Amino acid sequence: MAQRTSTTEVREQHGDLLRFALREADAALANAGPVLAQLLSARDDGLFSDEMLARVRGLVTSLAGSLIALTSDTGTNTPRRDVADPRVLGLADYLLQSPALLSHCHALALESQIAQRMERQAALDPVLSPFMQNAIAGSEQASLAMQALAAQARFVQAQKRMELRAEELPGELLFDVVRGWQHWSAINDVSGFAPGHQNLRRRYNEGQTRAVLLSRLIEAAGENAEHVLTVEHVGIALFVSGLARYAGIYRDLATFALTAGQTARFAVALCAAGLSAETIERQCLRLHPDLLPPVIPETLQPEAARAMLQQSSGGLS
Amino acid sequence: MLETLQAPLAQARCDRDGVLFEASEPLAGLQRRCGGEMPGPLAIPELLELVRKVTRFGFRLSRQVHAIDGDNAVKAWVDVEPQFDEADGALSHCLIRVLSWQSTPAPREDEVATARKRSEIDRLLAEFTARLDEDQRLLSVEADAPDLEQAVHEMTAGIGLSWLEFAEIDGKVTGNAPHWRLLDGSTCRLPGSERNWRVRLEPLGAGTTRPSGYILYLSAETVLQEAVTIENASRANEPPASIGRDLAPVLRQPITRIIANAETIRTRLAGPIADEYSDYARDIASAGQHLLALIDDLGDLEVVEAEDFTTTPEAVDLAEIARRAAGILSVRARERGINIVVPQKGETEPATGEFRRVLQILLNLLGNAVRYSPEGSEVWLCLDREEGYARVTVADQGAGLNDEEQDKVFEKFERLGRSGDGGSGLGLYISRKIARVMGGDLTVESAPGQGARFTLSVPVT
Repeated sequence: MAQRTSTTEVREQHGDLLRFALREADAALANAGPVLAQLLSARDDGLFSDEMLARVRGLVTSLAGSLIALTSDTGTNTPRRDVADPRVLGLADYLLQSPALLSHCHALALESQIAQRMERQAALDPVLSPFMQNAIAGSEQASLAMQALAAQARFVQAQKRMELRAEELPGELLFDVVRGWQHWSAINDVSGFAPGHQNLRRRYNEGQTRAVLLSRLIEAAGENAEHVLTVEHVGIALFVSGLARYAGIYRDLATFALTAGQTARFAVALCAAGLSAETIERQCLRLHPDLLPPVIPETLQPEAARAMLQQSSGGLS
Repeated sequence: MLETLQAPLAQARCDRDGVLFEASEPLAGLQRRCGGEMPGPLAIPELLELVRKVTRFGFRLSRQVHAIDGDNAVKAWVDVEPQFDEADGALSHCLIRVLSWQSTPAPREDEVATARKRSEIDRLLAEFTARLDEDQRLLSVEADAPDLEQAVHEMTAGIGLSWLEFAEIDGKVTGNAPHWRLLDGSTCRLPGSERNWRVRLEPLGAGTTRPSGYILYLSAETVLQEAVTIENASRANEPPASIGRDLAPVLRQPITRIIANAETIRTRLAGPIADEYSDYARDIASAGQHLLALIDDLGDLEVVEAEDFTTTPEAVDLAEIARRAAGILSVRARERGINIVVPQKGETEPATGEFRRVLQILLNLLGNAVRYSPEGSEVWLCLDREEGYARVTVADQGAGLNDEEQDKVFEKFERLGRSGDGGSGLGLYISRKIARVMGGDLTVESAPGQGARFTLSVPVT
């Protein structure tokens, strides 16, 4: 009697599992259509091109490789995409579930894509813009500018190789990634987290990340939004940092604003930064010569534009 | 990796709990001017936030920090490095390096924003609140300061009169009903209170040139010190708690604030919002009004049901009270398109009763008539006299009551099947109780479809 009950129970449990699996499969199928449609329709806008997807995956895998490399005794963090090491792919797959990290990698890949396009279209150097040249030549901020220049050059190289080191992440995101790394190590019984974490803590200095150096350079330039928000003068990297600074938005969101489908956000952000309608239009055309710039009403005040931006977080927080 | 080439402008150390124990200028000065000590908890808010983050993450972070330094706004780029104990690897303290420092005169605060903030503060600190009609006549009075008892008493008795008859405005204000903008922001004195009161008038009704009413807030310039001691001293030998005396004053204030704030939202005083939200705010306000009315009713119920309940007989004029009741409810009647026919000016009907109580009964009767009569109908207030009693009748063109309903209508909590209209089912019960204590009565005559006639009779001598 007792045995029969337990058999029934086991059967029921199997039934439950199957039902659960089917529900999951349903959800996957239900999402397949929209996702596929989105990917297929995204041929032109660059936001979800095949190249973008590949780059994001590449960056996350590289990041996973840099974390795993930290666990070795030598503590080097040469980014490796050692596909032979199952730990790298495993950790990469785990990290790919973090929307914050994906969004950041997406923004980095987009930034370098836009910078490349501007180099072709308008001969805009992705590393040494006129602004950067002046800063290096000037006496006050020369050393800061040199550091920023070096960081930007490293970034351009790293993007070409689809590399991302943990040391380049902003503090909050790194903390998130480290927690993910710790969790992944625990559930997969992978050793080396503790010494790796120790290594990372020793090496990490947010003050040496590209984003912070660029921001400091912008701060050092003084309160002059118009000066910093001229893309042909400062180059894409500083422009994105400047847009984030003066419009009061996150740098990643500022990057997204530079893509073709986000010209409205771009124009509103420039308005929030205090630029005139005429200047905004000029910057829109500089970035997207083939697109009609959105109309910014003369009456839209920077405060109102700022409020508008804040209500539209772009899914980032 | 490339180290920061420039030497830091300032260095400081702070332990894992955010206590600054070592700092050089200009950081040390800022810490003191932000109200901190040395050593002492870090008093620069954004820097403290950054230190907390570093303590939590265990990573060296580099951020811009903003602070207010007296009249100056400070922007500094700060690098915070966690220092770990060699032995056990635990975080021991944080090393703070100031990389750049920029001090500029702080921008002046926006005047409009300042004014808005000030009125917000006045509203929250007001010890006296009154609702006024479009001519600044009193509709309701609310206060929770002990030194305002007399003023509230006088004003409650003088509902329907201009609030200026009870307050002495400092400075020159001319005319019977000066423009509210002249009064807003002035100071005044109130009977029984030695304190100076600041006037804040908040116009109601959005977008119209002439406000449909006002909320009057009075906030004192000084705090009443004795209030606490008096209250504590009298606590020893007080009778058991009651709704009217103990609960109502405590509940009234928060509810009044809910209503006032909901009205602010409804009338879009603080900026444009979607219609639905304005409607929600109206619902909140009317629910609050209902709650307030219910508290009043429960308090009254307790009073009239007490064995020692008496009224103070005085010579009153029913015609005058009827006109005043109609005046108070005229706005509500107009909203529903109802015309109240009142006794002619000059007509009088002397009687003996307590002015406040008679007004209360008439407001109850008239309020019911306005609430339950069809829109666009008429409500009459008629006077007559019979066998030593003066009578005032409120007659409406509503649905009327059948015999059974007439029997029940004066019962406690009787709503005759109505709900959700703001009534408590106590008004008529209380009114009849009061009428009988005054030596009179409250009766109803009606037939379905014929409207209802509620008659209050009060002895003449």
